[in-house]
This record gives sequence, structure tokens and C-alpha cells, in this order.
Amino acid sequence: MDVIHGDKLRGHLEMLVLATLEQGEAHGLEILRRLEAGGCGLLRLREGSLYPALYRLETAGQVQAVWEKEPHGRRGARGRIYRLTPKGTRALRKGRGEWRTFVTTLGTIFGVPA
Amino acid sequence: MNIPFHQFTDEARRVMDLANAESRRLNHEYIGTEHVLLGLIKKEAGVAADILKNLAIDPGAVPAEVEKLIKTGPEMTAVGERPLTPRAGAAIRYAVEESRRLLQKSVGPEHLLVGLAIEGAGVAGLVLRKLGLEPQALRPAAFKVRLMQITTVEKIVRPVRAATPRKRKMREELLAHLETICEEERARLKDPAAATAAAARRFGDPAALTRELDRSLPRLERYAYRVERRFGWRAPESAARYTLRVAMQLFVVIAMALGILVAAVVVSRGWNQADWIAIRPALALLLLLPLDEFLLGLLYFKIRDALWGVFGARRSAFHASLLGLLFACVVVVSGLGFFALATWDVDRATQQIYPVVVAAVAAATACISLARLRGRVEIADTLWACLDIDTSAPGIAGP
Repeated sequence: MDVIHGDKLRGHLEMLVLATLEQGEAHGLEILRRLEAGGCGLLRLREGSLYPALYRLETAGQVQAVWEKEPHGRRGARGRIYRLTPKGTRALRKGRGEWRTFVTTLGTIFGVPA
Repeated sequence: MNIPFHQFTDEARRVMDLANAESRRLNHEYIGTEHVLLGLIKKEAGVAADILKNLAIDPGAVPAEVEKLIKTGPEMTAVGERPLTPRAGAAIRYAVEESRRLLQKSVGPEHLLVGLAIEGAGVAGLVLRKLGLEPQALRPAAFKVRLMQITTVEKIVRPVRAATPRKRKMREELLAHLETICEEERARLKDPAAATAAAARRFGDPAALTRELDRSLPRLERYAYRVERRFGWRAPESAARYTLRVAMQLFVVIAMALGILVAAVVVSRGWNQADWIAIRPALALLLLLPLDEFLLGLLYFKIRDALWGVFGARRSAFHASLLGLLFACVVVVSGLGFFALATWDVDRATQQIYPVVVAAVAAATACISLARLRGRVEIADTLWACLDIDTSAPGIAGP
């Protein structure tokens, strides 16, 4: 199977991020790890692109972020830990419904009914 | 001498232990630049030896060169920590300064090496030069990975149309990510240059990330950005230029407000003699506020730089307090000046001396507290904004 590049994920990245946060709060790298695990290595994402998506979700009130404490061992820059808000949970539920409709409708036309 | 050893990384602490051991081995009673250098080139001391090798300098040649310049001392039994020589202290202060300029929170062996080279006149500096070290080649070689990390982050963040607090957040978070993936790639690839390039590829094309970040911002951020562009500090203007610009803007704003007020009075009921007296305090403000903004603003920056020892200022609490005193004097003079101008009566103005002095002391205290409180963040913002991002650091490549 071909890999899926970042461009094709446009518009879906935010839903994907919300879905990974359903497993619990996480910082950027952990979110990417979960995406990678969930996509079985078929998702190819420029890692920096995660942050614009997170900032949009934060502005929309769907996730909340707190600075992590002193990073483990090294005294470098700190990351932020993101958590799903009730609003985010609702958005995720709505997004799942829309996705089901989308896939069923297009799948029927493509000749691969879901 | 005030050396912030708590900021040292474990490796840098080991270097200082090794320097102490070298001093003991040579029967010296002090730690000089030569002992620090001898500590740095030991295998267990981390990256410094590799940096020298990359500059075609053989670290193995260092001990022989050092011993040409110094004698071993007489047999002695002194144990424990030896004091630093003034030159070694200066070299370490340069190292701390280097780490701050690279926006790092800790001092590593690479900073110590550059510190020794900058100090230059100690035995270590002489030896390094004798072995063919080009001082201007050392920084890019010693800080290659770090420079790539911060220039990449700043290339992404600087063009984003957001105000400083939001950019500060982006910088730290993106840097944290980049630091971690650099470490991951380093563990995988061993070769630092290849690891850096791989990390940059994983992160993505800076220009594309800038566009995505810019689009992710709420509309309000755009206004905050415009206001900051208009009235805030613009890199790389000097403190004097910045405070002067704000003073002129303040003058124009007050003059316009006053003009509108006067025009409204004239149109509605005509001007009469008593209005001159009513308007005097406003005229005094028009004169004094911009002047004070300029002087006090400039003093604030001088106090901040003296407190933190940055941007060419020596770190000195005494110097900062003197400047604070000057700050209070400016407030006293302009306070009395305001009352004198507003009442047109010097005697009445001098009666206000006590409240004015109290206000001046309070203002100076507030200024110093603010410089302590906000200094670190402001300095970091300034360093980021002044970072040279055009000299493309090695390892930056598009996807």
C-alpha cells in the first residue's frame, strides 16, 4: 500500500489529533507517536505541521494546553501537554458521524460500499 | 568571584573535576585556563575533543604544548577544591555568556572551549592559537547543532504575523520538539551532521510551516500584531532609538488630544482668559510626559541590562542601584517641574517635595522590580528577534 502524505490529510489532521487525545493527555511528540502507531506507518506527516493544527484546536477551545514541568533530565526548552476539553469530545463525536456519512456515500459511488 | 556552577551540565561539571585533578597532578595550587583545557580534551569530557578534531586540531598535542609554557610545582599534599585564577574565571564567564546568547539554560563543554578561546590571553588561549585555531571558525563548529535548531525555529516563527507573547510560546514549543528529534536522530545515526539534517527533514520546510502557523491564528492576534508593529520595539533598533520613537508618538497623541479639546472649547463658547489657567496642566504634561518616557524608558533598559549583565553591560547590582537613584531623581525633577508649570508658582511647587519624593522612590523600586521580574523573558525575546537567520545553517533542507 502507498503511504499517505501530509497534503492528503489536510482538513483531517485536527480530527486525527482529537482522536489520539482521547487516549489521554499528551505532548506533540507523543501525539505523533500515536498517529504513527494508529496509521501503521502509512501516514507521512511533516512533524512541524502538527502545531498549527494544535493551535487551531486550542483557539477553538477543543483542546487545552499546559506547559510541562522542567523537561526530564535535560535543561532545554519545555513542551506543552494537550488535553481534550468537553467541547473537543463533542467535536470528535460530530466528526465521526460526518466521516461515516462521507465514507458511505462516496464508497457507494466508488463501488466499494463500506 | 561569582561563577554559576549550578547552570553547568553534568559534562561541564566533570570537566571542572578533571581540571581540578590536572591541577593536583601538576602540583599547582589553582585552576587556570590550562587545567580547564586539559580537562576538556579528556575522552570522558564530551564533545570538546571532537570539535577540535573537526577543526583539524589534534587534541593529543595539547598536553605537550601546555607543558612547554608551565612548570610543575613542588611536591605538595594540598587536597580538595582549588581556586580559579582570574583568567579562568573570565573564561567561564564568557562561556556562560555564550550559552545565554544561544538561548540555552545550561553551560556545556562546548561553551567552556569557546570561553577559553575568547579569553585568549591565558595559557589555554595561547596553546589553542599555537595549534592553529582560528577564533572565528570555532563558534560555528562548536555550536553547529544548536545554531541549526534556533535558526530553524526562528526562520519559521519570525515571519508569522503574531504578537510577541504568542511567538514566545511557539518558539519554545517548536524548539522543544526539534531538540528532542535531534537527540532521537543522534542516537540513531551517530554522526551529528547527518542527524541534524534528518531532524530538519522530519520537521518540515520552514516557509510552509510559517504559512500554516500564520493561518492558524485567531483574528484578534492580527490586531495585536499590528499594534505591536506600530508602538512596540522593532528588532534590531537600540533602546535609545526605541524610547525616542515612543516619546515622539506620545507627544503627537497628547498634542492631538489637546488640540481637539481646545478646538471644541473655541467652537462651542469661544476662548476666554481663564481657559489659559485651566489648560496649563495639560501643556505641562505635553512637555514632560514624552521627555520622561524617553529618560525613564532608557534608564529602565540600562537597569535591566546591569541587573542581568547583558548587551555589553557588566553585571553589577551596585551599578543598577545607582541607575535606580538616577531614575528617582528624574522623577523628582519632573514631578516638581510639573507642579511649577501647572501652577506657574515655584514656591507652591516646592511645597510638594515630600509626596514627589515618595512617588519617585516608589517608581524607582517598581522599575527595578520590573527589570528583575521581566528581564529574563525580555532578554530572551530580544535575542530571538535579533538572531541572524539569513546565514543558512548547515543541515537545513526542504522536505
